[in-house]
Amino acid sequence: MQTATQGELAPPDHGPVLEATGIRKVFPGHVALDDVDLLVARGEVHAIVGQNGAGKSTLVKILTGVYTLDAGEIRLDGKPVAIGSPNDARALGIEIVHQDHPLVPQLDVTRNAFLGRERLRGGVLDLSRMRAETAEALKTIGARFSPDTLARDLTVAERMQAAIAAALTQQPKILILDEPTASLSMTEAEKLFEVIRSVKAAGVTIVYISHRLGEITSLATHVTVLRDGRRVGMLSMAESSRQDMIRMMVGRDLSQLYPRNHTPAGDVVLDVKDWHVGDHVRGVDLTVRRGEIVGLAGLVGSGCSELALSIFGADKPTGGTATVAGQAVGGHGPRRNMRRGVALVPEDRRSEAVFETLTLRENISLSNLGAWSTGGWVRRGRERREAARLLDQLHVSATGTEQQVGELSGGNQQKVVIGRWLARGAELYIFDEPTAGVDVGSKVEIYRQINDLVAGGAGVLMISSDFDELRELCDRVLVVVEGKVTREVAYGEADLAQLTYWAAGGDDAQAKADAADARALPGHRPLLSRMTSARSVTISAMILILLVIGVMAPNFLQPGNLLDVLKQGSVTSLIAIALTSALAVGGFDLSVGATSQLVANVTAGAVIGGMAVPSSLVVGVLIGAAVGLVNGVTIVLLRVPSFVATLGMLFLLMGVTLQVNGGLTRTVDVNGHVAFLSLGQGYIGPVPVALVIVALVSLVMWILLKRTSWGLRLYAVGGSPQAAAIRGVSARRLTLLAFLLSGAVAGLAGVIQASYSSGSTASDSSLGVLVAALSAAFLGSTISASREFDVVGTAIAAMFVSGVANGLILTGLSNLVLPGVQGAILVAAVLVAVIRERRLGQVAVF
Amino acid sequence: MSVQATAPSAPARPPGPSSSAGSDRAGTIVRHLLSSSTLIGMLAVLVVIQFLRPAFLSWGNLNGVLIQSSVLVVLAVGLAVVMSMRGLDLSIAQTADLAGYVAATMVLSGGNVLVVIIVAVLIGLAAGGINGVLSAYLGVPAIVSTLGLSFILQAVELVVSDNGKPQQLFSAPSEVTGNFLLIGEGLVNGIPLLIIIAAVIAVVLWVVTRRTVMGRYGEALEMNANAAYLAGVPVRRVYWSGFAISGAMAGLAGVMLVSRSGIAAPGAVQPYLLDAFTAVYLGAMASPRPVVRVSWTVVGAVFVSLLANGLTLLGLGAPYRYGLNGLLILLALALGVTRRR
Repeated sequence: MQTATQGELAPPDHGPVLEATGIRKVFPGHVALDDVDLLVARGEVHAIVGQNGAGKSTLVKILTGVYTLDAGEIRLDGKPVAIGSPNDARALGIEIVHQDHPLVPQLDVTRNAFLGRERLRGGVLDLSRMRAETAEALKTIGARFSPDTLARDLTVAERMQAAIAAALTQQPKILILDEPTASLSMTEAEKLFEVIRSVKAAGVTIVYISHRLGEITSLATHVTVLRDGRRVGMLSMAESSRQDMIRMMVGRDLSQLYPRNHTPAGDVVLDVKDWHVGDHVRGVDLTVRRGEIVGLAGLVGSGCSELALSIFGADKPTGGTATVAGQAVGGHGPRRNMRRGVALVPEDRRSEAVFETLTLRENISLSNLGAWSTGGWVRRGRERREAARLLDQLHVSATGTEQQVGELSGGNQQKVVIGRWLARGAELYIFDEPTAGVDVGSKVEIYRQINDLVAGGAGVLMISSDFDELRELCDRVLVVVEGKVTREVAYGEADLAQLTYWAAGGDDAQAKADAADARALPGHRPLLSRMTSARSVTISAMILILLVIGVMAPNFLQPGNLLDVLKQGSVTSLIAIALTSALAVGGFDLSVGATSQLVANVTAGAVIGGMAVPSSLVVGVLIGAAVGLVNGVTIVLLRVPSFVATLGMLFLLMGVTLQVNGGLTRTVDVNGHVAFLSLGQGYIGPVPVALVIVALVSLVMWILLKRTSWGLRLYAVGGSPQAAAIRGVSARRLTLLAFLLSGAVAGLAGVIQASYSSGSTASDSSLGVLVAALSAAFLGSTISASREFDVVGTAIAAMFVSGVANGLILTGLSNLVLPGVQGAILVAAVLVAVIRERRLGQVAVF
Repeated sequence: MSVQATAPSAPARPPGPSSSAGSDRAGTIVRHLLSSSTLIGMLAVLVVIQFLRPAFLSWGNLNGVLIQSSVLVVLAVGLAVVMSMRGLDLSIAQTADLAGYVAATMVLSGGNVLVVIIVAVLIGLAAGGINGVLSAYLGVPAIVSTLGLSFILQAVELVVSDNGKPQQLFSAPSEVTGNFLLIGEGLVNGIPLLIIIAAVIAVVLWVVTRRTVMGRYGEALEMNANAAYLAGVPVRRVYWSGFAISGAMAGLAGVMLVSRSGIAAPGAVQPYLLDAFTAVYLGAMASPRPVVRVSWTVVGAVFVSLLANGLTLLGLGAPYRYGLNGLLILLALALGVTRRR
C-alpha cells in the first residue's frame, strides 16, 4: 500500500483559496448538510470523501450554485461571495467536471468547450481562436485527439479529458472533479491522474470527489471526510492512512443493521460460464446456490449492472452460457427470462421500476397479471387481496392498495417493487442496489425479505456499492473489476477496507493482468465507420435512384429539366429549411406547410390588390414569423410538446386559410405582375430566381445556425438538453428563436409558392408539403457528416425529393401514386435514421 | 420553507424550482376547478348555442347529431387507445376513407354485407398493423410512420378509385345496396343501428383498456415504457396492438360513414381527423385526471359533433369549424398543462 510522496505536498503557508464555513442545507424531510466546513489551500488537490448519502454531492452543488445554502458562509480568496446560480459560480472561477460529464454528441470538442461562453468576432463565432484555445488546453492535459473530433466519437476517458480541457479554457481558480474515474478503467484512470497532476502544476486548485480511496492517497494533499451530512474531520494525507479515512467514513457499528442469513446452501440455481457483454463483462464465471446470497462488489463501470441486466435479458450477452435451474437464460428480453425464473429489482427505481401514478395494487400485479387473470380478464378481487397480503407482509406503510406509489417514501416504493417479484416467485432474484436512497427502517425490512427468499429455497445475486451491506449480508462476495471477477470472498473473510481496495483494482497481480487486457481491447470507435457507411449508403442510393430514373426517362437528366426540377423543388426546400430549424432545437413543427399555404393565399390576394413585391415579401415573412412566435410561446410558456402545439396550429391555420380564400382560387395574371411572378418563375441567365432565393436563404440560415452563438446553442439544446443546461444555456429562449425562424422561412416559402403557381388554390396541400419537407429534413440528416439536421443537407435532399417526383412522372408513372412515393420516401428516410436504436416509437402526446 | 409534518409525500426529493408544500390544498382545489372547468365550458357553449338557436337541443336535432357522431366516436375511441399508450395515428382518416371506398365497391359488385364489413375492418387492421410494425418494432416515431402510411394509402385509394371517382350507392338498385345501407339507416327497437354500433365499440374498448391484462399493460406503457419492459411487459406487442386497434376502428368507421351517406368519395373522411384529435384531447381535459381515456373520448366526440352541428345552425361554415377545433386543442392543452403542474 502506497502513501503520498512528500514531494507533492503543498506547503501549508499557501493560505486558503476557498473557505466554506458552517454550511447547512435542509431539504423537506431531512438535513442534507449540517455545519460543514471546507478549507481548501491554494494550488492543492483537496479530496472530499464519504459514503453514499454523506452529503458530498450536495456540498458540490452548493459550491457550483445549483443549490443555495440555508446557512453558512463561503469565502473566495478571503472575500465573502454569494453563489446564487451556476453562472455566478463560473464568473467566480469555479468550474466543475461531472462524472459522465454531458457533452453534446454531434458537436466537436471546440464547440463543446465554448458552449455558452463562445468567443465572437464581428458577431460570428471566432472558431479559429476557440479552436486554438481548445488545442492548447488539450495539450496541457496531454490529450491525443484533435479539437475537431466530434464528442460522439470520443471514448469515455477521452470525454472526461475533453470536459476537463473545456473547464481549463475558462482559466478557473478552482476545478471541481466529481467522481471523474467512476466510469474509467484502471489504465484510463492512470492517464487521468497524469492529467490532474499537470492541471495542478498549471496552478489550478482542485477539489476532488471520489469513492476510490486508493487514488486519493496518491493524488490529494488533504481530505475532508463527510458522514451523514456532517464533517467528521480533515486529514492531511501525509500523516494519515487509508484506514483512518475508512474509520472516519463508516464511524459506527453497523452489525445490528444486518440480519444474518442462516440458510444452508443447496443445489446450484444459477450457473454462468464465460459470460461476455461487449466490453463491459469479459468472461465471468459464477454460480449461485439455493439458499445462498452472492454479492457482487464493483465500482460504477465495473460491469456488474450489465451482468445483471444481461442475465435478466434486458441487455444482450455477446458470449457464454447461463442457466437457471437447468434452463438457459440471458438475452432475448426480460419476459422470457422472467418466465424461466429470473427476477430483477433494477438499479434506478424511479426510471426503471415504479409507475408513480399507478396504484400500489397495479404496481404489484404488473408482472403477475397472467396468474391473476382469466382469459385476459383481470380478476380485480384476487388482485386486490394478493396486493393487500403482500403490502402487509412487507410492512409497507400506505393508506391501502389504492394509493398511488408516487406518494410513498423511497423505501416503501422499493418494497413495492420487491413485492411485485415476491408475488410472482422466482428461482433467482437479482437485486441491483436494492437499498439506494432507502431509509434505515426500510433497509432492515428489505434485508429480512432477502433472507426469507433464500430461506424459501431461492438464490439471490446482489449488487451493491455499499460494501458493508455485501460483507454483512452475503454468503460469498465476488469482487468485479473491469468486467472480470478478480476475487471471491466468503462471509467474514474480508473487511471493508480490503473489499474497497480490491474493487478499486488494487489487487496487484490481477490489476496488472487486467491493465494488459484493457490495452488489448479493440478500439472504441467502430461507430464512426458504421456511421459513415450509413451515410454513403444513403447517398449512393439517392444517386442510384436518380440514375435509374434517368435511364427510364432520358429527358430527366437534361440540363434544362434539371434546372426545372430545382425550380419546382424550391418551395419544398424552403419549407424543409424552416422545419430544420425546429428539428435542430429538438422540436417538431407540423404547421410549416399550413403556414406557407396561408401566406400563399394572403399574398395572392394582396398582390392582386396591388401590393408591391418588396412589401409582399415582408408581409409574408412577418405573418410566418407571427405564427412561429405563437408556436414558440405555446411550447415554451405552456410547456406543450411542440408536436401537439403545432398540430393544433396546423388545423387552426387550415381554418384561417379557408376563411381568407373563401374556398376560391386566386389567380395572379401576368398583366402588371411580372415582377412578382418572376420570383417563382423567372430566370437570371439560366438560373431560376427561386433557386437563387433558396441558395440565399440556405446561406443565411447556415450562418445563423452554424456560425453564431445562437445557432450553436440551438443545436446544443436539441442534441443534449442536459449539456446545454449545465452550461447555463436557456432552452426556452432558443426554442422560441427556433420556432420564430421556422415560421419566418415558412412564410417566405408561401410568397414564393404564390408566385410559382401564379396565385393560390383553395385545395389544401398543407400535409403534402409537410411530408415532403419532413422527408427532406430526415434525408438531409442522414447525408450530413455529423448526422444532425443540417440546412444544406436538407436543401439538397429537398431537391432530391422533388426531383424523384418530377422524374417518376417523366417515366410515365401515373401521378396518382406520387403521394405514395412521398410517404414511402419519408418512412424510408426516417427508418435509416432510427433503425439502429430500435426504440419504441412513442411520442409525447401531451 | 418549513418542514411539513403532515405532508403525505415527504420523500427526500431535492427541491424543484417551485416545491412549496404549503400550497398543496389550494392546488387541489384549483385542480378540481380546472378539471370541471372543461366540462362547464362545454356546457356553456351548448347553452349559448341553444339560446341562439332554440331548435338545437330538440329531440329531432339531437337524434341526428348522435347518429352523425357515431362515426366520430368509433374513430376517436380507436385513436384514444393508441394515444393512451403515447402513440398516435395520423392515418385513421385515410384508412377509413380507403376501407369505405373498397366496401362501397364490393357492395356495388354484389358482395355479401358481412364479408364487406369484415374486409373493411381487415383493411384497417392491416394499415394499423403496418404502423405498428414501423413504430413498435422498428422504432419510427409514430407521427412519421402514420403520416407516411397515410400518404401511401392515399395513393392506393387514388389508383383504386381511378383518380377519385366516387362510388354512388344511393343511385344503385336497392336490391344490391339494401342490406348495406341498412347499417346507416336501420333501427333496432327504435334505436339507430349506427348508435348501437358506436356504443358497443365504446364499451368493448373501455373494457379492453380498463379491465384486461392488455389494457393494464397499455397503462404501464403510457407511464414508463422502460419500467414496463423490465417488469416483463411485452412492450412491443402491446404498443403494436394499439395501432392495430386504431386501424381496425378506422376501417369500421369507414363502412359506417359510407353506409350512412350512400356515397364513397375519396377524401370525404379527411375532416374527421381533426375532429377525432379534438375529441381525444377535449375528453382528456374533461376527465378527472388529464389522461387519455376511452370513456371521456366519447364525451369529447359527442361534444365535437354537437358543436359542429351548432355552428351549422348558426350559419358558420367549415373555416370556423377548423379554426375552432384547432383553438380547442390548444386551449385544452393549455388547461392540461396548468393542471399537471
